[in-house]
Amino acid sequence: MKWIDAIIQGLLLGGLYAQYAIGMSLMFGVMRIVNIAHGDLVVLLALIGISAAVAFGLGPGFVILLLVPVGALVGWVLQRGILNFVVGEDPLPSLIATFGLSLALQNFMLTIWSADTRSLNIGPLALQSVNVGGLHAGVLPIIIFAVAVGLTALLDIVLKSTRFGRGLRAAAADKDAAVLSGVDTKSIYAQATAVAVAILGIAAVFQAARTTVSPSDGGAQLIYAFEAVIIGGMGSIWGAFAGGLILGVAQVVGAYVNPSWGILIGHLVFLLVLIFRPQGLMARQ
Amino acid sequence: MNPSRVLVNRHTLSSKIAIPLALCLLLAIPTLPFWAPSGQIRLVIELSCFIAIAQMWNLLAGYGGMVSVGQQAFIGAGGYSLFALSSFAGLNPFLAVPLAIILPAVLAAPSYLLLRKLDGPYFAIGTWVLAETFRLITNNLDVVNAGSGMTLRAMGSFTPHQREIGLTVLCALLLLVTVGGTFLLLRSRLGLALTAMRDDPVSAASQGVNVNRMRFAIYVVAAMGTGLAGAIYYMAQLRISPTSGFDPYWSSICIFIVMVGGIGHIEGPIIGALLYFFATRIFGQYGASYLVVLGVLTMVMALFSPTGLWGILNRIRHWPWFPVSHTVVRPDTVQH
Amino acid sequence: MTTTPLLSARRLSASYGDFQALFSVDFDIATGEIVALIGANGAGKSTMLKTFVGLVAMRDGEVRFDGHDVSRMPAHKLPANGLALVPEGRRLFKGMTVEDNLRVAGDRARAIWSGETPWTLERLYDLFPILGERRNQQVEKLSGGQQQMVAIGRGLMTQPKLLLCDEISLGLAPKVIGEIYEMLPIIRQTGTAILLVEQDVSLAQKSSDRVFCMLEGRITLTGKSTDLTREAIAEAYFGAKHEMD
Repeated sequence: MKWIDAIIQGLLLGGLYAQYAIGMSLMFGVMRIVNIAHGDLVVLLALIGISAAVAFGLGPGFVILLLVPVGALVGWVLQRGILNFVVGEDPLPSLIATFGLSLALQNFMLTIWSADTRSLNIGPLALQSVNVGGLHAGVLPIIIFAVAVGLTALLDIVLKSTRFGRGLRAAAADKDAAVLSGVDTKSIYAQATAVAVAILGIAAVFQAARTTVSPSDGGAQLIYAFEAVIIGGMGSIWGAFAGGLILGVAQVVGAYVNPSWGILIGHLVFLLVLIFRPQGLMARQ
Repeated sequence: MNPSRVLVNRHTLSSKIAIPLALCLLLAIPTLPFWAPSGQIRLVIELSCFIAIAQMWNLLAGYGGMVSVGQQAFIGAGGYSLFALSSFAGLNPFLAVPLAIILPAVLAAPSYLLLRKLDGPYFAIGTWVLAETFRLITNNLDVVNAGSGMTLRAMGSFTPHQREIGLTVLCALLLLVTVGGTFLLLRSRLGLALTAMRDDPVSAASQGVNVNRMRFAIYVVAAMGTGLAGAIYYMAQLRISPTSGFDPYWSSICIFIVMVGGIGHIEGPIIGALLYFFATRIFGQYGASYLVVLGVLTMVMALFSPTGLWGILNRIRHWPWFPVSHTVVRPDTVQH
Repeated sequence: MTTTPLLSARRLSASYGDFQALFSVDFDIATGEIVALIGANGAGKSTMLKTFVGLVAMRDGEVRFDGHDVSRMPAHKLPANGLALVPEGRRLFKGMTVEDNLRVAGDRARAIWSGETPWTLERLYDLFPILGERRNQQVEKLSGGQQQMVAIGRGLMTQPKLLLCDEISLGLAPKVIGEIYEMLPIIRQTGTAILLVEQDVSLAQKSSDRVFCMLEGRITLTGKSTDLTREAIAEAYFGAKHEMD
């Protein structure tokens, strides 16, 4: 039973990782940019959310409502202000630019929020759990998982069936031809990044609710997002979702085997996928 | 124009000054223990390590086209090799330093084969995951004291003066091997192939350059150079731990130095290292605010001047210190 | 006719870096006309089209379309103003279906006035029935000729007043070329002007009202398709008097 408990916890944790991963998958799929500050953005939004909650006495629902537009704005500014200058064939400038941004952002957060760890107070929700046939699961993790499923499905539909989604896929397939069909690439990239970071705003609330947050956490979150995308398979939103789940299970089951091995087992699963199925587990090959 | 009356210049006036000067400086380093204060000697050792590590990152990214944010994997590997060889095999630490390149090389080979399946930006994060994996494994390895780290006790059997002599000699050798080695490599036929590969891998491949094998070789060589610098750095520190040896901040240093100094040229990382070094000495007291500035500078350079300070200087005046190109001149136009 | 041309270019010059590709070119096309642009490889035909749509930077001169100066208009705004390019090599959106390829363009089309009959998916599928059958297939799976139809359809979905066609016969079998060229008069009947860049001189002459010939970045000949002689075209095409026997 304990193993099944661990797997379920892992799947639920994976829901959070999936939320990190789908935004990264979107940005890489469309612009071939990996934003190294991706994890730091989660932390930034979480800290903003926590501060707002404390200052204005907001509940978690309101914090989400606040962070989605804030995240969208941050993403939009990031793309138009920085990333639009480095979209292109050469990966070096975008890597280095976002790396510099990450360093600056982490230390900026340090100066404002200090290295103290913080958490979002969600009241009794933090402790509630359900019991189904002898299996326990926390209510919060279940909510996180459900939201992950919802976000992934929503993003998938947006990409497949909306004007915005079609334009984005066209720009990813052939930028010049997209321009010839009327796509304003600079604007659509900014909208894509806005969407990606808005999703991170939601993830930020859940991260702050389930554990503590501090300015230097960004690196770890980036790595989890990245591993989830690779495990699941690049170029697929549902792939990123699946990758997140697998990573979550690997980490929790690993920690169950030995408490100090959790994250390491996650890395090892990632490396194994790289060795045996580098295109990802959900890819069509 | 009769071909036999054409000269090929490999050196410029600026390099005829700079290279002998560099060699003099290099020879001067081991003399420091005899006249310089210990504090300054430590600074020179640190600076030498930064220059070496940055040159290796430059080789990787500027010539190999591989951006790594995980070189700390090999810094830690080199450092821990040294400490392990000294503590468990009882080797004289100064003699063990050259051997500290073995473990990084052994780790680098399979690492490259794994990571090359990843696309550009994902390759970079992959190198970070690798470094984190090494850190976590070391953190759980009781034989090397896990999280508490190791101390280089063998150094206690030498006087401080002897230690300084040993370290400065090693530093001079480190710079000779990394900077000098890179210079000679780039001037050779192999270097020509490397430059071709950097500029256009597909065309280079069509001319017979084995791109894959070259990248593999660069990755392993860079790992060895980085490991060597790591060993020397931590020898001077006398202590190593998983958190410090595999610290991601090492990558921040590399990237700042090379990107701000100037990528793809040997002179760039030297300028960048000097800049970083002095800036940290002066502004480091401001802690996080200083690092914000570092990060922003790196970002600005990447956006607007990817060739860094040396690139800007080069456009104003082409005065290379370590020239790697060929210039064809007619004998009657050669100035004396 | 003294009405203003739909598209007119004056003293148009353009370069790729150091290499100048167009030298002070003058060009015009009227509403509902079919004009062919012929010339050897490298003469500057594609470059001229790309300059019209802003994919290649103009060094000098002016381009006016539908009464506006579009010399400095961002490329992505042109379809909404009625100017569409069917690019050389088709440049379809791989990984997307036929219908999605068409819809991307349709999403950002020119607003049509009452009285105009717009190009809709249905009308396109009437014109190119094979596309209707394969609407949900990914474009990479289509044959060359079918892909060309998608490319033309994509241009039409923006409701263009002027459709620029860059070498649409390239790489296609003669029968397929024939089928596609039969569509052009039908397209013209709806009021769309067409500019054809074409390697095949006789095909160009047969299919157009007027012909422009280019050589090394300059216009060397222009006139009504029915008026031009083989000799005149050959001279303008190759740039030297030919002994014809």
